[in-house]
Amino acid sequence: MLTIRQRLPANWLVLGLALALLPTGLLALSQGAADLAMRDVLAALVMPGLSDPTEQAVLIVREIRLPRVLLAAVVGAILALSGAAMQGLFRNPLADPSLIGVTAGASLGAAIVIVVAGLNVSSEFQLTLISTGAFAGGLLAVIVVYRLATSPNGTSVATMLLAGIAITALAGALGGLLEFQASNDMLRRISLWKMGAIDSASYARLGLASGICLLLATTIPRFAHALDAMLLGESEARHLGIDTDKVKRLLVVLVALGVGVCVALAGTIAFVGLVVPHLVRLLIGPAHKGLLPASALAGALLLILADMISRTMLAPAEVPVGIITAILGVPFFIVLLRQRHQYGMQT
Amino acid sequence: MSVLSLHDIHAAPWGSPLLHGIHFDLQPGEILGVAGPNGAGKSTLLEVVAGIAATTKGEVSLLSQPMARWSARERAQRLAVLPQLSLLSFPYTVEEVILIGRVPGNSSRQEDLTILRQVMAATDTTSLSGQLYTQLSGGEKQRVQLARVLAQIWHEHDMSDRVLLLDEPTTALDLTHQQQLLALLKELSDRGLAVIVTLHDFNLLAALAHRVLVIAGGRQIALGSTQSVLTRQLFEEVFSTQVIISTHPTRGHPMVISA
Repeated sequence: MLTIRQRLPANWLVLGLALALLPTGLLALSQGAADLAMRDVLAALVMPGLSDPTEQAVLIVREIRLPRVLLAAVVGAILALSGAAMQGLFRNPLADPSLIGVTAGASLGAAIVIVVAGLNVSSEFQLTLISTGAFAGGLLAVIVVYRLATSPNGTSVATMLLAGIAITALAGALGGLLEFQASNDMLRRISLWKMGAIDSASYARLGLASGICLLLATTIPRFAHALDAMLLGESEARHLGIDTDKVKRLLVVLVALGVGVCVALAGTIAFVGLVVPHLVRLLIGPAHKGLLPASALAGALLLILADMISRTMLAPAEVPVGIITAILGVPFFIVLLRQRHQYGMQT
Repeated sequence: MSVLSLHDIHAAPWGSPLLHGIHFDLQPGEILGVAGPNGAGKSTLLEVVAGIAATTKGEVSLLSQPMARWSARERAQRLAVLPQLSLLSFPYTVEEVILIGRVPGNSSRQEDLTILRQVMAATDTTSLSGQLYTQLSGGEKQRVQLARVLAQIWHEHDMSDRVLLLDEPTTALDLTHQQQLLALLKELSDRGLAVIVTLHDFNLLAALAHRVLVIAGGRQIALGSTQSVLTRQLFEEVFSTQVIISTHPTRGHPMVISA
């Protein structure tokens, strides 16, 4: 007789992950092109009496690394939370937030801005412009996908999946057309942007991302029971008194907003949204009440660590963090795929 | 007072008309069996009764109140539907699946756990405790789903304001569990639960139902006691099949034997 593997109580995992955030964040603050002692990091942040860091160290910690570590945490949390919600909504453990077209739309938006606006504008302004273009492109793509999947009989998640794939392919082709026309400089900018990086962190950007993260973290967990019910099937969820069309609409809007902002600020960061909910499900089971918060926290942790590796691996050069998450994520994911029957996954 | 009433129901959920003039009342504790050829509109009828498919004409009332006036959640506290098969492919435990049935309820966690224990005992799923739903056999899954829908509308003593709809519930069950299901439904009907069940097996239908509704091509062909409805003429007209109608030697209900 097969029995359930030993699962962790969800509360323990949530608590453990929350407790791990602080030391991980501090570790990430101390690592980088210039290695700082933990004493100096703490002194620069909260405990001025602890040691006497140089002015430069204080600057590095407060102005460069702190917004960056926090942005990594926020982006990781949004991506993982969105991934968990999408996997529930699509009843598919292999779903990813990018499935609804948001990532491809954002990439196209960014590429259009880079090619059309060119490289003549000042750097900070250019960055804002690219982010705006990415955000607009991402949202536009999702609106098209959602419209295509919606008929008078409701919104079909299967059609949404197919429409997402179609729009992703179309945006990819249009992006390719632009890249074909672009100069070498632009091409390099586009491809670097696509790899994903958190090096553009500033407090303004952090503020925006934190606001969106807060919105998602306070709204998406309210759908925990609805997502559990929808995994049984859509008519089953309706028989349980759930307005499935409303759930789909709100979740798609929230995820599009969240992922749109993430892609706009940090480029495309692969596999966080896919792998993190998987890992969490392995530890505590698929019930969304624990899965959603635990995924958000684990996503934050993972991206802080991946960003730290991206800064230190080839220091002083930086490896785009999207490459790190894919290199870490893919082997891990393959192991999960090969063991999926051991934890009762059937697809 | 009837717990459910359908008055001249017409419905066309996918564009073309599928139901024409369905008309019946359901009393507390009554078990209504629905039979008919494939494509007769049985599943559409259940969806209309469940309030998730719209009618083009006529009205379904639950506890004398039009279905449209019930909020989805209040409706779900009184009316549950057991689907033919469920697609759940995520590794929830048996208990987690059954507790999803408590989503529309507003009881405490403690009350939910009491209900969980009671419905697991009633559906013979206590032995499946702690197992993963995805690793169960088809029949075990069906019993867990039954436990889930019972948890949704469960009341320990009086269920006279609750309705349970079942779509071919015996398909995946072995003989023992078919008989257990029949016994359980009869026991629940004694507690006041009103039941509508579609079944292809007329002998199960005759053993279980108080009344039988036969539909074909979306039209109501017959409604009445099993003895009055299950006749040779009906099988010739509706199913184009020759049958012998006999009587169960000990229980006295009609038996249908193919000729």
